Amino acid sequence: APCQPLKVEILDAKTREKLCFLDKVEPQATIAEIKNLFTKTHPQWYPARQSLRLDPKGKSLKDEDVLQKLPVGTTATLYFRDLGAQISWVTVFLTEYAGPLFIYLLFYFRVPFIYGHKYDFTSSRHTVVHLACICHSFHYIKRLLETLFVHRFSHGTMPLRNIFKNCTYYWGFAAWMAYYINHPLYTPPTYGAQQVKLALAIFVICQLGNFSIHMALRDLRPAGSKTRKIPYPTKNPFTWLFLLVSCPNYTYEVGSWIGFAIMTQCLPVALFSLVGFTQMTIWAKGKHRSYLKEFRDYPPLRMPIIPFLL
Amino acid sequence: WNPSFSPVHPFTVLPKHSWLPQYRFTFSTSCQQANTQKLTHRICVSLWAPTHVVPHPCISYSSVQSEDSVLLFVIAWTITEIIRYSFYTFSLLNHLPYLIKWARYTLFIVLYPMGVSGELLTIYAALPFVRQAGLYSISLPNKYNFSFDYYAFLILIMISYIPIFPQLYFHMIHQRRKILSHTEEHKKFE
Repeated sequence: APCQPLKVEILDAKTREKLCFLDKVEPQATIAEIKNLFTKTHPQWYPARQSLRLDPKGKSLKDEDVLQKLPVGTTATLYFRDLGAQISWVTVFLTEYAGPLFIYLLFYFRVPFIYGHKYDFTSSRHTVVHLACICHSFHYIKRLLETLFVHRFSHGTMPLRNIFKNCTYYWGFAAWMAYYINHPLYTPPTYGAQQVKLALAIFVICQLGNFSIHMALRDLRPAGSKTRKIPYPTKNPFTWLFLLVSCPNYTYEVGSWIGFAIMTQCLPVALFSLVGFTQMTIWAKGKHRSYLKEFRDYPPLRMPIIPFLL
Repeated sequence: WNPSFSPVHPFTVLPKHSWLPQYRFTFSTSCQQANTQKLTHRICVSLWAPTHVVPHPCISYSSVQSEDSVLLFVIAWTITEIIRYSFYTFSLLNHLPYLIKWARYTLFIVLYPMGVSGELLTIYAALPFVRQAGLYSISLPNKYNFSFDYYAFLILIMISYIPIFPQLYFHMIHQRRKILSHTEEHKKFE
């Protein structure tokens, strides 16, 4: 193929207005490099909020795509769409998880103006309430640490409005649950210590399981890369759930919350688990579909989130 | 006389709009509109019914008030629904008289505020009764560690009218401008 430099013109996808014309672009240039060049002429559109495509209504080109390999002539016409203000996934995760951790503790320590004044800074007489605080806090500390040290994100950013939506969900539910569990009139579980022990076992097993899956997924992908491979069970027994399910991390997550709901016997916790389950099922089905599309040899026994069922 | 049932029973949750080839309504607005209407109808009727079935001496004056406000929204919504479903029916038969289309996109200007006022007044009038009777409310302590205050919920509903009603109203006004002027242009070329 000729190594002649190409010309690139960038048009607005909606108005077809010519926004930028790049003379002498290397054929081996990637979309990421073109995005950087585009930012120079339009600094308000930083690369993370640019969506460039070959067709105004088509799919976004990936940052790694090489200009030469795309079906373009000597002048490449790319269509631009503004994705809106972006925020990094790491920032969103840290904010949405730090909230529940902090908020739950406000209720646990019965900070003033939540319950009646005679209860300010008092402590619950039920063991399960203290145990619940430990479990809830552990869960969110685990999530924060995983965000910082374990997860490898495919996308750097998401739309800014997501942080408001996500924080409302996490912080709102955390406050709602914490209010009842730490309430002076809280009623401990009907079947007492037996119920709490069983629920705690479920919770701990699912937390370990979820962590194991996160580690296994991390090991699939080298640092800094965006490769995608089929996950398989490893020597860790918790990962054997991969035999039956595409997204065992979600399976274990739902399990943890079911455990927490049984432990606290609190309806808001059950509702939170239900809503979380619904959302994770949608994500799991999407992930499962992409796996099936991308890999011909994908194991047929696997279901998205619940073995054999869903 | 039982005004709880409109002559045209609203199966308003399903977005019938999507079948119509000519008019494209945004799914979210029409669903929002339909769901909001269904929910508020239910709340208003369920508020009004207890005050009548079990008359309470302390709030007999507000039963009268709520009777008027119920009349207000029932009349407003009944007329709206009759026009709206005629509109859909004729559209599906591809034989839509201009009068129906005009009525649908013009009368709402008066009927929507009437209906919303009726609903808000009904809810407001019923509040003391709800507080007194603890209607639909659960308090602590209980086995499932849950509580619900219907009174507070109703206040929240009333507040939610502030963002939701203008959105729906101005959406209809926008639709009116688009659809009625479109027809005017068609008429010019006939």
